[in-house]
Amino acid sequence: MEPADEDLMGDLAGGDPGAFEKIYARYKTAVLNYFVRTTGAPEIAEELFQELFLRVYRGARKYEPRKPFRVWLFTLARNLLRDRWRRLGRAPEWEDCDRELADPGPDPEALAGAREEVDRLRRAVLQLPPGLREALVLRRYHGLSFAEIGEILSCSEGAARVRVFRALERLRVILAATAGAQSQERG
Amino acid sequence: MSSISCEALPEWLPSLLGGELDSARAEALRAHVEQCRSCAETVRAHTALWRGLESWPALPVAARLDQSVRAATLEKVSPWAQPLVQVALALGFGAAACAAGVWALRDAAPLHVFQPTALVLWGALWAAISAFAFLLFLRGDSFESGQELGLRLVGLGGLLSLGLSLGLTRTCTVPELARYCEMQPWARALFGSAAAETTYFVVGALYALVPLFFISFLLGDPFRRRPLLAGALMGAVFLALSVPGIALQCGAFSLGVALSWIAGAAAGSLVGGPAGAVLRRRVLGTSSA
Repeated sequence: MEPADEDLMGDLAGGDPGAFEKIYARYKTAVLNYFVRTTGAPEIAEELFQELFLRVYRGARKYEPRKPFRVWLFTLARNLLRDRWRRLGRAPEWEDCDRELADPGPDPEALAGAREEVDRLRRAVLQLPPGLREALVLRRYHGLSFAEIGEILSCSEGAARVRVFRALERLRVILAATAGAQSQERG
Repeated sequence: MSSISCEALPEWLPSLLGGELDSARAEALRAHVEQCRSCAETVRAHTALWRGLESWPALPVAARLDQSVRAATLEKVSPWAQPLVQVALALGFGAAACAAGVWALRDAAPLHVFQPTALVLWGALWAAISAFAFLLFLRGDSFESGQELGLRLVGLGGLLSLGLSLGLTRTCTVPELARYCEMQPWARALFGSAAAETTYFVVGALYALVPLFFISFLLGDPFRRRPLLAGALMGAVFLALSVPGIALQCGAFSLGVALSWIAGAAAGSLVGGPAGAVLRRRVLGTSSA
């Protein structure tokens, strides 16, 4: 049976570097994609990713096992993100981060259509206000409960639920507006 | 649970999408949606979006990122981050800070009135408190989890405020300013025939308030979540750092004046630190979700 995250953090605090390797392997993809989906900028996401794991490593002794590890981890991630936005004075611009779709593969037309659809959706997500975007990303891509999202975003469980609803509502509006603009361009 | 209103949708729909809505509520929602076109459209649109979001693929972590994280953590732990090294650094800093403080007060403090043992004890106390503040700076939290106080900045702020306060003292000592005030007609009008204790209380408060206010305003950005508490802690560190210096300057004064000065410094510390941090928050605003 694999050890729990909280136990691994205890081992790391006790000086076991192997525990960090396990934590890193478990969460590296989730963390990188959290930053990619909330910033839309792979270069910034990679910087934040490295900074976050450095803080996990150095801050293992400050971790309180009473708090679920992933709540602690995403709270750290969210605070790093907030600090970065605050320094920039705004959320970073959207960039093309579709590396794995760079090779069109055997059916270029179908992939190009799929890519356009993903791009449209991605751009729409990145136009959401940060608070709504974070709630949506944590829920949709990381499967966190509303109670956990509430703890990370410093709001109630009910407010986290409503944020996800509002994010989807806003996405509808943004996508409808972009679809309208595209059909006008074609017409 | 037979029927619900449209207002339940924001609360229930996100749970439904995640497959977490209990069967009774899901049934009630379904019954409502059959009769409400607006909610039916919302459920349809949200469900489609929820599925569509899955098409945003996850990026893999590049090997160079793995290497970079390992290099920064497992393969390269800075010797300066070792606890014993940091304690040794803090003790060295404490001794240096104490020597610098005594040097800065060499004209203001009548050191000759103290017994050598008392001087050594005050010096050791000052060095220990300075070492503690430096250790706070080295090892305190820094808002990384969002639940912390930023003790690193509390320690740094206390030390910087002390430096500023000593700089002020080099320019004009508290007894000089107190004597100047006592001679001024406006000060007489302000304090009336108040005793020297009152003057020392007010001037002592100013010498704590001004540097602390300035430094906590300067460093206070991360204190925006709890500015009062963080500012008060910075004030408390500054006060602890100041007391040995005040005591050295009070060698020739009555106990009443010395205590008034310390009380003034305490009042100035507890006002200056929080005031600077609160003003900083007012100026920059709070981060909203």
